[in-house]
Amino acid sequence: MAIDYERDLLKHHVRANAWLPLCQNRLRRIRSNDTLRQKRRLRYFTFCAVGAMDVLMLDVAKVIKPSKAGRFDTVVFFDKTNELVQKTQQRIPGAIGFPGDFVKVVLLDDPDDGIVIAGQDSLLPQTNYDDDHRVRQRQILVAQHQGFIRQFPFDVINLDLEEFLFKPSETLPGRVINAMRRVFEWQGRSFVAPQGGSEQYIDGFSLMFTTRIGPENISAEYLNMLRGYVDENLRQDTTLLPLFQERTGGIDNVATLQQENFELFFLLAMPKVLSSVLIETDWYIDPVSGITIYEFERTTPNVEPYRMLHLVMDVKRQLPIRNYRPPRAGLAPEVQQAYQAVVHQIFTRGEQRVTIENIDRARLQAHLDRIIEQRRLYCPDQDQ
Amino acid sequence: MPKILVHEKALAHLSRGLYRSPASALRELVSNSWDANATEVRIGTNYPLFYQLSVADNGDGFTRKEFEKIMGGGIGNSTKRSETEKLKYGRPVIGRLGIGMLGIAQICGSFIVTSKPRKGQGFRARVKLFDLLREKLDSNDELVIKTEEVDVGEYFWEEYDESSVEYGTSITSEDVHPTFIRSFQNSLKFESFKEPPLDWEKAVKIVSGVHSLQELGDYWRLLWELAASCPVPYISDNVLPNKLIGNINKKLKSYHFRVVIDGIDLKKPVYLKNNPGGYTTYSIEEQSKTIYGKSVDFEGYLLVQEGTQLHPDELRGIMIRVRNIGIGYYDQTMLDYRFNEGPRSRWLTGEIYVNRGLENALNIDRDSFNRFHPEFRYVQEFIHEKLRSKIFAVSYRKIEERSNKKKETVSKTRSAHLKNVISEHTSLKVNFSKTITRDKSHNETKIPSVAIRESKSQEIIVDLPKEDTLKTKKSYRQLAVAILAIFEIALREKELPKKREVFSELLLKLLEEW
Repeated sequence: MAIDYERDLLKHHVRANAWLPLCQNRLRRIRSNDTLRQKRRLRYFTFCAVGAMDVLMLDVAKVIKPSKAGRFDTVVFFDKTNELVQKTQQRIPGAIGFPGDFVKVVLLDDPDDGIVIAGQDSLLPQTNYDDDHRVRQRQILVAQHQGFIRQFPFDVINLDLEEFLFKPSETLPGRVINAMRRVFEWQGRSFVAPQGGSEQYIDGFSLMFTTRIGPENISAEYLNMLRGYVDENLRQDTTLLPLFQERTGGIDNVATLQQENFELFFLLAMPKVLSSVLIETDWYIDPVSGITIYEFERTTPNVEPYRMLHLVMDVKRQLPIRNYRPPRAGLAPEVQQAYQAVVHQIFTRGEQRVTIENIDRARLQAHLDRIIEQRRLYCPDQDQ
Repeated sequence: MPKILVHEKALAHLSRGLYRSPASALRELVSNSWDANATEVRIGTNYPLFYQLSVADNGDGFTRKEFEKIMGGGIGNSTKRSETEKLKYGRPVIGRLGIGMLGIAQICGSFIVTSKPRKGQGFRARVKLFDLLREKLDSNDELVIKTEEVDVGEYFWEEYDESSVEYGTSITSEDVHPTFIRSFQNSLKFESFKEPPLDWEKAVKIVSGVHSLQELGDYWRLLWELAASCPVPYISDNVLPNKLIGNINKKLKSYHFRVVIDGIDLKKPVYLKNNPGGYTTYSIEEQSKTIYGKSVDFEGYLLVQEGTQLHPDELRGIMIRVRNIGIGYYDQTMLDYRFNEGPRSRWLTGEIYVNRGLENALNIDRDSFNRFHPEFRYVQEFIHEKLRSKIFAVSYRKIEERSNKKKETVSKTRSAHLKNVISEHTSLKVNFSKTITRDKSHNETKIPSVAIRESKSQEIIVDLPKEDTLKTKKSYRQLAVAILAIFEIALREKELPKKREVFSELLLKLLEEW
């Protein structure tokens, strides 16, 4: 039986208590920077799935607003197939939906079939190839890649991957990490608000990141990488060791933690990957709010239970931006301090474990019902 | 006796080149949904990216066996449903060529069909059409040309989970052609492009503000053409004057059929109200005639928007609908109308609902008619007669009336202006007399002239000649009379220089607001 992600109360607890306030805060920040004339809407990227619950939750809370024409044209999403994208667009009309493999579109690997589509307009008729399926697919992939870049930047990025971040079959650092590198690079692009005006840059964004803990057969390469992050933290800041020991119940080295408590090891190490990718792409995690981690167990019949991690954070831009920094300038002091603060916080602030016992089920159910009611406005026959 | 045969290649060609626009191909799928008793068809274009197209209905669906039959030689050979067969809600059967599903092949190279019938086994299949089919057909490629049939593609069964599928049929493109995507994406960058509102009534207002749909681009054209050609109701019973479509709309509403594209619930894109010049209309009550033993029944309306060109241009002309489906779009030749009606033909729109007949006059693309088919000829002659006698004749009279009224108003305004000019100069009240006096000295040559008298009550009476006595162009006569009048006023001065000065001054004042 498939998991009913949209009505799962544990997941909805994260939506309502982590994602919603984060997005509300982001909107407040945008508004505080806006002049009245240039009031703009929140730009949101998501893997919302057909139910589009996160988008509709933000719609109910008026964090995301449709255009005057009634379209959610500041929402961009990806889904794997054309059918899924089409169904999602019924539920959030006007949202911009990319059908395809997110990582493949973002990374746009060199083709192994020898079809090289050159030029800015990849959809133009090709002179060197026949009009066949492979050529057309390649043209469209290139167009999707270019088109997706044009959608950047976003005020909120919701990377709700629902899968493993590190895949044993992939070489370090893995395709998802490389895709995130590109995404964060593109966050530095300028944009013009739909109502016009001059080019703008964002000085920060909010990031929601979801992944499964694991996998159990994670490769040695990945383990080394993860161990390396924590070891380095402990080496560079001696005040962290007591905190580490306290958190791990007395364990004093990372290798032992990895063997004895992989879950906690993953929890302490994985956020550093995110933090490092952000720093190398000219961003850093806002130390004031830091990273908040929610964890819950997903149980489905006939499937081994597994644990999900939801990370939420605010991200700030490094200033001056890279283009205005000399080569090898190193990290600005405030970025280094922010990194240290976030590391401290990861070692001290535990994850929030979400269980059916510690959530307000009645309130969450009512909230879910309200969102589903909202969806009926756009797609009355959704439940048929 | 030797038989005349048509090669199957002809059909294979049709599978790739039948429809002239994406809307025409989609319209065929919508017709299929209508015949399948669907109450709703949802079309998705992936706006604003256009990487895919999909059509899904909630109709009867069809079974895996039926699909196999269609794919295994049944394309273009579908059992046509009887014309007398009644569908749900009393809908008439549209019927079809049976190639509709492959119509999407003009836009994409592969697609997924999923169908869950109310009775029988549903299915999900991926259909892949051969690339470069035309070239292969022309080169007699053995891969596609067989002894009895022509392969245009192949299909594969996909996993079908009945519990996750809704009743009805859906077709989702997989491989939309880059040229289609590019064209639609680029059209969103047109200067006049506006984001289409989800409220169709608002969208129709936007369309009414442009000369041609092309200004708004391909996406708007797709929306408009689908709305115009699909069997959906009007926005309301009152979108046209004189309750022209009241009964037709009631019938359309009774069919319970919606077409929703990208969240926009389409209605017919017609909204003509509040034209300052009014409208000339003719309601065609149901007509019926037997032609070569077959009935042709139709009804509809003709309308002229007096004095104002219709917007968009695409609304001009006459749309013929056979069993509620538009055949082509509005025909601006008015079914080859042979009279030149000048600008009035740009004010005319009309719709003819053919409830029975005319199907045999349809060309294979269902977008046009064989113009020499006797059934078409009958409809054509009827409409031309009504255009001539009930529409353009009335419209012409109205133009004359409007023109006369306008002339009268202009004449009155100018006359008042002349009075003002003279009155300001003489500081006397001015009256124009209809009593014509003639200058005796010029009587013999019959040159019309102006006489001026001063009455006792501080009033000046100007006797003007009848305009038609002036031998000049009609349009100059009132001006000529006015100049003669100010000339006479100037002559009242004693000195010649003063006469000249007054004449110039009055002439310039007169022309200031003429």
